[in-house]
Amino acid sequence: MAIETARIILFAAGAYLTIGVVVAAVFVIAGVDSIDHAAKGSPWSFRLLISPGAAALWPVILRRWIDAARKPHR
Amino acid sequence: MSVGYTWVQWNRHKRVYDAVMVAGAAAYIAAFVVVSRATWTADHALSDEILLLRALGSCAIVLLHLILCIGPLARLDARFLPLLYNRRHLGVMTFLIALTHGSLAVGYYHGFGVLNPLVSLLTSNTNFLSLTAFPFQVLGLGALIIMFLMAATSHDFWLRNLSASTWKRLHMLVYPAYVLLVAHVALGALQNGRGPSAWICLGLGVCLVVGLHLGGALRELRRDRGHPVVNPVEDWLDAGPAAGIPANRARTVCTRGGERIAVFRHDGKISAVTNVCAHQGGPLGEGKILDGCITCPWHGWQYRPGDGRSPPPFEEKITTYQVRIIGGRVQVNPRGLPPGTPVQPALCEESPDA
Amino acid sequence: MPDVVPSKASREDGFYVGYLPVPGGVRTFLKRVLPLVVCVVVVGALVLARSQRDPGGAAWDSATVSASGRLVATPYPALLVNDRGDGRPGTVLLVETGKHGLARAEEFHNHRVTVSGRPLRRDARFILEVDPGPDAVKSLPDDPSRPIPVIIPLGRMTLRGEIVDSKCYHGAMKPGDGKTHKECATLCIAGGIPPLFLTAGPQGETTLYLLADPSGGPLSPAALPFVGDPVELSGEAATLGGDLPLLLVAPGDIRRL
Ligand code: HEM
Ligand code: HEM
Ligand code: FES
Repeated sequence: MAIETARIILFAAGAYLTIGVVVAAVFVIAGVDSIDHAAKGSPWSFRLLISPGAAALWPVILRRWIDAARKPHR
Repeated sequence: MSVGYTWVQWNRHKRVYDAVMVAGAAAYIAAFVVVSRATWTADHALSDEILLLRALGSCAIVLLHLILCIGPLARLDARFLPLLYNRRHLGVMTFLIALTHGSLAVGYYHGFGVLNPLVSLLTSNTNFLSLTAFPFQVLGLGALIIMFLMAATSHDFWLRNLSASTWKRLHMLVYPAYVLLVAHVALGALQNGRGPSAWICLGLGVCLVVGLHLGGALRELRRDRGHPVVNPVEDWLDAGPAAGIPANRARTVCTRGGERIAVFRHDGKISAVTNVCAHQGGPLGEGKILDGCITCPWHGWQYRPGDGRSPPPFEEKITTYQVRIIGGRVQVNPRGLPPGTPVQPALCEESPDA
Repeated sequence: MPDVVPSKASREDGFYVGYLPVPGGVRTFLKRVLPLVVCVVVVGALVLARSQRDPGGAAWDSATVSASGRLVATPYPALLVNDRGDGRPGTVLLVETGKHGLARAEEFHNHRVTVSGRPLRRDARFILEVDPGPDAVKSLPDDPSRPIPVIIPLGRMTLRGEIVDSKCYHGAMKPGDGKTHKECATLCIAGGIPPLFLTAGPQGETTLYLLADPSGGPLSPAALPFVGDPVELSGEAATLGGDLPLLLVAPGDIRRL
């Protein structure tokens, strides 16, 4: 792999994860309760535990979050 | 069966499990380091970092073998089920050990230089077509990413919110990860002047994993074949004689489409539900009725046989099936009902649970 | 579900539920099997640890020493010393901390200097990791008529062996050669650490050559993909004085075995 290609891949991965960290931080504080009612009032240890996954899978999280906001009765 | 999430639902069993697993990993690493230090001394001593990263990498792959063996072992002998109960903690610990190994390797072998260590990791060796000069580190990186995804989504929150099928697909990636790691070791460390004993260890490990999985699959196949569709009246499945099902236990039958149905006998009645637990897909047919509820053998989630619902306050639901008894034989309608649908149990003719 | 009452039924036929007490039969079974598993794991650790190879005898001293001699900057920074310890002239390769060649060599080319640094020793040879800071390399009074050292060719040869980086090989990492060290050696050499060719003689004794380009400059970057692999190469053996022969190789004359 050329050094330039590697730099582009790592930059993309870094950008993806940076967005992920931001989304995850907001999500575990303010969003998780709205997509899963079992998370209402859950302790910070639980929120911390799901943060790495939320940062890595933030597109999935974001979609579920938006869905939940559209259908608040869920 | 989560009414509210906590980070870990601790109980005594999980504490004992975790203590044994941490002690075992620590014993492995200590043994590896002590023996290496005693064998090569003074000027011949290995670098601390290399010794540590080797100890951690090999510890992780030994643990991965254990993880991979637990599933089929529990299928072959139910007494192994307690090992499966807390497999997720074993998985997460294995990931953390592998992560430390990978970080040390990247930092030490790829750090301190003129390139960003990660750029170096991806570019310093491009002999992808060579068996002797292959960049084996990239294989480890691939496996580490898979292990991260599994460990990061291991909380039941993810099981529920990624959907069970996505989650299961994610977990099936453990097999590609295993293949990557066997190659990581065979194309890397084992070509570094390792004696035949290391090759033999890897060979034994692969044989153990493959053998147990074949054994478990054969057992499952034979079980499915054991209840052929002998009397498909109106497409209902024959599930064998009602009297043959032990009290509070189930017989598992398989539809033509390959779905398994657990047919339970309880209080002289017969009920049928899906064999797949709503939690992590554990085999309900190998479970038991406890306190009036079907209890999963893996983590003990419970469902009422009459309607496939967990007892309150839990809200899980599983697919139920219509049943009837004709001539002493149980018949099951293979078209599943929506999860949680109440079904009239079939009454056995003979005295209850004789 | 911690508030479920332990059911008698669960214990009768050994049906295990994680949040209930473990049935007696299963408990006995686990008490037999788990120690066995831990034993197998520890024996595995012993076998795998013993299967490692000897990294070779080399040491990286923490104490600073100094050495005096003539500094040459090309093909790689080195100190040519009159007495390597046994009265014969020797070559001391010079490197920086980390995976970097000595960046300050140019201004001292062909000067008599004293260099202080940490020695890395292997067999009878040592190299110096030059201390950081301006005082580590100091010019000494010199005879200005002394000629600049030149490369003297000794004849072509074809050899089999491995390209290693001199710093790790001399004890910065142990092992500092072989398959798993390949990427590190590549990074070191790309950073200017002098590359060595490690070859076994007829009696199995190791011989070292300092690799350089046929132009007399540093080894071409096109040779980097061959670092750490078993290779055959052919080139011109040469000397610059000292006790470390040179091998002048074009990348096209290196072949992976
Ligand atoms: C970023 C990811 C990884 C990198 C860069 C990496 C790199 C390395 C390197 C350089 C070695 C050779 C060490 C030496 O001989 O000095 C090695 C060995 C090894 N790695 Fe990895 N690795 C990674 C991930 C993994 C993972 C995820 C596992 C297993 C779960 C693993 C298991 C092993 C094993 C078993 C060895 C052999 C250790 C021994 O010599 O006894 N590696 N790895
Ligand atoms: C790095 C971490 C993990 C590794 C290496 C790992 C390994 C495995 C393996 C080997 C299997 C296939 C077993 C079989 O079906 O025979 C599997 C599937 C499974 N894993 Fe994991 N696991 C990890 C984390 C977890 C976690 C955190 C959980 C719990 C939430 C978990 C639960 C399961 C379950 C329930 C299955 C069965 C899926 C099915 O076959 O339907 N694993 N995982
Ligand atoms: S799979 Fe976990 S309880 Fe059934």
